[in-house]
Amino acid sequence: MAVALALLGAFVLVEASQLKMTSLGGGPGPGVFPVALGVILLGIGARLAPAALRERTEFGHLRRVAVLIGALAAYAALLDRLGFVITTSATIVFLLVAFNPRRRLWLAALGLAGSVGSYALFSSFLKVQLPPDPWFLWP
Amino acid sequence: MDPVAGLGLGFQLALTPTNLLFALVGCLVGTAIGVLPGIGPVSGVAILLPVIFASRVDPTSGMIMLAAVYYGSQYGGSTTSILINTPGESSSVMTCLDGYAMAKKGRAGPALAMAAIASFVAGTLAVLGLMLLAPPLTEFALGFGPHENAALMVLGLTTLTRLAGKSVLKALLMAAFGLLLGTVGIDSMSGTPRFTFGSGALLNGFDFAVVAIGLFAFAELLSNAEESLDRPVIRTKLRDLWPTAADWLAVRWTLLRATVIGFFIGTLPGAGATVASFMAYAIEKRVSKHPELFGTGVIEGVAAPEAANNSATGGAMVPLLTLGLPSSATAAILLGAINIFGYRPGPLLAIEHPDFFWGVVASMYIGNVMLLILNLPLVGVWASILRIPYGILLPFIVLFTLIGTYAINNDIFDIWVMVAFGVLGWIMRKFDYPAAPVVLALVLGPQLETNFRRALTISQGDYTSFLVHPIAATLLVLAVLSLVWPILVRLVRGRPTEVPIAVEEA
Repeated sequence: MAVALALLGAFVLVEASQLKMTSLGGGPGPGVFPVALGVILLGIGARLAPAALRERTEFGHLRRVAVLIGALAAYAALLDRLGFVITTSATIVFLLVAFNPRRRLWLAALGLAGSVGSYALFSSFLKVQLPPDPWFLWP
Repeated sequence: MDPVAGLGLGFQLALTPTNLLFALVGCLVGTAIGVLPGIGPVSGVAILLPVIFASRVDPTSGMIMLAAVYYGSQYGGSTTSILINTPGESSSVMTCLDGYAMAKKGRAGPALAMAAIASFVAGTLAVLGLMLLAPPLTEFALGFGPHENAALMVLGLTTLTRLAGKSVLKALLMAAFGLLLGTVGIDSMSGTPRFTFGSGALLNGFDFAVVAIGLFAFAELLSNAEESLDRPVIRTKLRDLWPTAADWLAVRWTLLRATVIGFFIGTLPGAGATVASFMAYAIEKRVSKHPELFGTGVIEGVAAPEAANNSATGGAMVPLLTLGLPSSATAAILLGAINIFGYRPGPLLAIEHPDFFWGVVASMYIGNVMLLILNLPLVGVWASILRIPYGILLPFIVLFTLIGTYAINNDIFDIWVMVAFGVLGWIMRKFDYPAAPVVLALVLGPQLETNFRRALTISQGDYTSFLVHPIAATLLVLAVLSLVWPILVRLVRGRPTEVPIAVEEA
């Protein structure tokens, strides 16, 4: 983590060096702030790096984490094409079924109702813009 | 506007049916967020904000609701602490000690009731404090120029960093990372695009609400998914809700002490409700005639942290509404909300928009009454929410997270950003990197940079000008002190010390 942030700091320094350091009228330009931040990131990151390399942590059910991240990545990829109602229902039903070993049919129905219901509540009632489905089955 | 006239105007606004409804919904949502361990006030406010904004609600009503979610969550947090020994929020950790012990003794009812009453007393007194403290602070801050504003924000960032995590260096690193995120996009002063890498989606920069939902809400969901989904739920009888006369007698000074402690800690940037509840509990134990009984189920042990965490949220509103300086991650989101509503946070807020300012203040009195009414009879209902298995709750929290994220800019790119920051936030938790400095720095960063560069433009690039402005110089000295104070203390005591770090943020 610290190593990654130190590298980020170095990268920021390289990128920011292309920005102007001064502006008209003697004030600092757009580059000053990022350069200062790059120095801080690099400095503290490097200071913490030796300890960070020895740091170890324990992981629990990584499969569930992967399932959750994967489901949302698929969600983001498909949302544009399939619209809110279909993509969201599918994702929520999938997560409900994946995380609960029992009463899956009942939960799937609940997930479907919840997703469609929330679309009705937020989009139709509260006028929050949500991605429409491409076939405009739902107003 | 003097407090009496202001409050009159405020109550006129807050008592309209619409605003009463918004306060009620906010209190309900806030309590639910407080009860549910998987979602905290930061995520709750961050998810609700875009929904409120997209529904084109009047700014005053919107802010009334968001503030109600904020202080309502402090009420709800105690329920889980007492009933299942799991704090709903970090600020209810201390309530677990004696609250759960009371529940095991069969006194869950009085513990829950005392938590609600303590919250009510403290919440109401804190609004009184806010009302009295805000006008003079506003007056004082009116003279602030760019130098003072920049210095104030540096102070806000360093104190939060100081108190955010176990390691100051890690917190500082996170603050710098947040400031860096704030620079992405078009530079507001020169129009130069920075760190966009030719991507059109990055031109507008990172939205603080998207980042906050990722770092807090989604990261929390990932952590919970990683750990066991089953939580032991203890069924408790909720008879004899009302505390006994002996209970009342025991807490009469506790409530007052804890309220005052909580309020002042709440006004300090970075300290917030959690630190306030720890302090109040510790002080109560110290002044108690029977400190050895703390932790075995004494009523003061419930009243003190619950009073303190509620008055701390009231205290947090002081710098937020008068100086535009958030003192916690949730307050940072509220600050962003004020910006989104089109108002300029800072001392001019109460003067330019008295209806907004006083409407929100007055609604906090009403909200506290609502919460008391909601929480005493409905405590059984809240407890039953806890019986829903987490495997069922989690997908629905995901659903609200997605709606909230998309509603911010109606942009699918934001979903990607949210997921990415969720993964980052989860890794940060694994290695003890605090998330609050990132969000605070992201909200304050652009303003800090603008003020900083304006100040230097005025003084023609002369960095020493910060030292010539007395208020700015004082604030900066305080900022540096807040970071190096423990090192100084260690030096004076003559013990070996770590390598001191130089702070050059101004």
